[in-house]
Amino acid sequence: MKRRTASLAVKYLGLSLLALFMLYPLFWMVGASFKTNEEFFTNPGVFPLRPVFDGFADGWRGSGQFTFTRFFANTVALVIPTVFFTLASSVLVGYGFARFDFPLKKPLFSMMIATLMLPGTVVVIPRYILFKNLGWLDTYWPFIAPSILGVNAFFNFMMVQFFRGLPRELDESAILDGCGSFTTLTRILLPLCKPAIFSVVIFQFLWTWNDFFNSLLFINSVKKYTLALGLRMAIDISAQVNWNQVMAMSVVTLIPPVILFFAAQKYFVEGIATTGLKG
Amino acid sequence: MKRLVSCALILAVAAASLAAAPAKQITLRFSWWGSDGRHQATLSAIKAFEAKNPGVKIEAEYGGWDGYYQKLVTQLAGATMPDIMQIDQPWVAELSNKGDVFLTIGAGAGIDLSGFDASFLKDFCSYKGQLKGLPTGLNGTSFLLDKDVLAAAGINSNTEWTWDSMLSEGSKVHKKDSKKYFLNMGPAIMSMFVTRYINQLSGGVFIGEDKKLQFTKAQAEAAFAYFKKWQDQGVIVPASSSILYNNKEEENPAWINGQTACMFTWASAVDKVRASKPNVVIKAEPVMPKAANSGILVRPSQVFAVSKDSEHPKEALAFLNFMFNDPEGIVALGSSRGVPPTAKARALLKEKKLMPAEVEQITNIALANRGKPQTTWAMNSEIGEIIADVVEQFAFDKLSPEKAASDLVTRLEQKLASF
Amino acid sequence: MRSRSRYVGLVYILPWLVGFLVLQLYPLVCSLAYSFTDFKLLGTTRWVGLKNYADIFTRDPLFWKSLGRTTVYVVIAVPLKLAFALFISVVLSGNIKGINAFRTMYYVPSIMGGSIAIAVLWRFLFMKEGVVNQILSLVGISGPNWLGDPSLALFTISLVTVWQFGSSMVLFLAGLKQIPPSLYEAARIDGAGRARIFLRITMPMLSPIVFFNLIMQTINAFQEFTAAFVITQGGPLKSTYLYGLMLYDKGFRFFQMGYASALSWALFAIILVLTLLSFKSSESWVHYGDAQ
Repeated sequence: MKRRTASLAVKYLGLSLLALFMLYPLFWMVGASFKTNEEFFTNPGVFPLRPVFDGFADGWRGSGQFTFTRFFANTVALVIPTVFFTLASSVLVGYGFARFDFPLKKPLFSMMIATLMLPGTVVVIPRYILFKNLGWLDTYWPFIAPSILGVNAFFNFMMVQFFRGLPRELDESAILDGCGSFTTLTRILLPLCKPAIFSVVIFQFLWTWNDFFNSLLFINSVKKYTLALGLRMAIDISAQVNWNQVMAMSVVTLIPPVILFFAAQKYFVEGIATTGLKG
Repeated sequence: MKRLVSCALILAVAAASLAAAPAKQITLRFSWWGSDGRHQATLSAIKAFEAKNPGVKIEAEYGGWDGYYQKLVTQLAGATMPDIMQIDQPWVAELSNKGDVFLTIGAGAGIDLSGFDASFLKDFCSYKGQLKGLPTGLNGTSFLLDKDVLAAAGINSNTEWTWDSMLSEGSKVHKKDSKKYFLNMGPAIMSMFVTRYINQLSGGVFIGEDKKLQFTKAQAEAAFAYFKKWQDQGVIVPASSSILYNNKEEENPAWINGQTACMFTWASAVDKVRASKPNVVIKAEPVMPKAANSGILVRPSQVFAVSKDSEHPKEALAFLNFMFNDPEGIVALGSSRGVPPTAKARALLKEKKLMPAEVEQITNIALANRGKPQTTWAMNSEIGEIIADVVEQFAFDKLSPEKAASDLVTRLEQKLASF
Repeated sequence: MRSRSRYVGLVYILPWLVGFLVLQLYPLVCSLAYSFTDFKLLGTTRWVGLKNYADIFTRDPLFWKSLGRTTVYVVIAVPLKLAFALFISVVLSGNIKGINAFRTMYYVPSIMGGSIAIAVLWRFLFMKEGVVNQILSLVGISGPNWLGDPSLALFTISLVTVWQFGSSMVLFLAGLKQIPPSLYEAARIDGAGRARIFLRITMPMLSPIVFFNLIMQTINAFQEFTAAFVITQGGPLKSTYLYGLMLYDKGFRFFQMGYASALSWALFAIILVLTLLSFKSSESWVHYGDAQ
């Protein structure tokens, strides 16, 4: 019994130390929201020696035309549809590739994976021209349309792998019970894939929430700026930047993804009940 | 008959009132980068202009420096450039060299150019003799010195720096305290000084418009031999430390904490530097006596240019005119882009006490000593990359002065031949 | 029933198919076309055939340097990151109190992502007089110049992505959760020890996710850009000049978009070969539940 508690204690100690490493940059960022510019560049510690307290209020107010309220609202308006549609399409596409055989399946799958392998830099300009011709510049369509059409092979491939981990007997017994392909998916397979769904949601949420470059390229009006753009709006290499404000807003921007992650974990904890399949 | 006449009268009045109706609303897109101060100043200038010109609306597209150039280039490729854009001065030549991008601002284009220094416009905002943009302000360079570190090393803070005194006086800092150095400078800025030294030696502008080098290998070797002394005599922070703060020397804790005495700055960045280090003195950089080209850079802080594809060039130019020549525009913009380019604006800001003293001081020092303007090729980014690469290797002791000089000449000539 | 499903799969993948044809094909074909030209973003464009590709392999020492550095980066970063993620996932999937909190804390670095703070902080931590060296000096070790030494800088940069192992961890945890507890029970009843259970049950059941993480992390690592861009700008002495940086320079700073496109497709080919090899090898070690 003693050995058990000792090893458990070691485990907790190790996990906590690691957590400290993981979180140190976050603590530093929070501390930096209270530092003067001078301290920002000289004090690697978390706690400011001469704190200033206007970072959050001034940072939120921003450069005058729009406050971070607007940027938050914009980002939510961008992210929620993108995540929803990504989930829907990647589930469908993943199911199609994982569970069915059809003509050209192999070449299509390879093509899909191949789209991940080309570095994005050189498709920036043709994509820009494409979206311009579709009239989608200065809108959120360059994000939402690709998510409706399940273009991001990362999520499709992920769902394929998760589906393939489920035994075929599940499908077969569902079909014997009279389910069509769609009901098999929704009634049988999806409930077993909750952790995978969680992963898709959390990743796409985070990537879209933090996306800077695509947002910069496609959004022109400041009133449509997202948080990622708003955060960098006042950073100019040759002018004075109020770093405490930038850090304060960076911290605030982190909070929704962290909350989402923490809250959605109950889907994680819910494992699969015994499926009555293998004894 | 009466009916006909009254009918015609009504029609005439209707037609007249239609003709007198305000013109359709024109929208101009205007993009710039900056930080909070500049955003606010520019937005208020826009507001003032719109108040005076009810038919014109200006869409402000602003943000930080990150990604600005990449977005601009993409917009260029996609033919969606804003009507008015703030650009960095080297881009005038760089982009014009690749294609006809900017509207030529001719005489009588609706802008009063009389307030500008004509040679400044010719040297910095023109391409192949045509005016392509207007300078948003004057910017120049100088040294910034920490009075306390100088005092601790026994150096007079009023010293006027020469290449020799940098060695003789500057080495005192490190000799006194082996943890301190005189010069907080990374390889990127050092490469600027290497070209400066070479230009002072040769009197040329480094690379002429004819794509030929205007210095000899021997001169380059002499330059590198001099800069080797900086390293050997402990004048400059070692490259392995300064490389982390390359091009952002003001963020180096060694500078902020008083471990180094001197750094190089542009006038426009002086606010940024002083925010973390108030107790500094401004001095000019070294120039060789009798140098035909001091190599000291002055340049526009930024340039405002109009897109060649703009659908409303007249209104775009009118807006530029407002910002540069209308007192309301001048005061609204203030010194958010450095010392204003026209004498009228400078006087106005001085009168309203809106001109920060150090920015003016640096600009004046630089203007007094200013060297010949750089050519298109000298400002080319691939050329800059080669120079930076050779100097970085030199700074890390991977190249001797002789090898550095010959590498520099060989690689530059190769690249220039390929253009 | 079975024969009807011959085209059902196509219906399911229809969103992707449409999306690919409408939104992705054009940019892909464009960039491939660019690679055979001297596209400079402005001015006239000339067809140059295979010249770009020939130049890449025979006349561009920077290509080899960058490719070499990127490969080293991949070899350091990916195994470290995956090993960490796997280890922590296994530890966390046991019955530990506060597991939700731990999981969130380990994921925070991934949320912080390309945050501006990372650049400033990494320099603080790893400069010669930085925090890491100060801690090391407490135990008498004189730490090296983590970021200023060309032979170490790449390793220090790869620590950024290793620190962000949370995303791989999330997927491993998801995969672990999907393993039926009945399998573990049966093994325990048979008297199998922890190591055997891990090797014979956990790893095979987890292998589809291991495979996914391996492929995706490798592909991403080859295309890495941000950390090297903001922390070291490819220096010192080009030791952290990752392929992504070279693409950015060539395409957007030097306007050699045709050449940059050729570079991209060259990288594509390299990644493709590696991925195909992985898929081939996966047939022997990846166990799918549907392989009955």
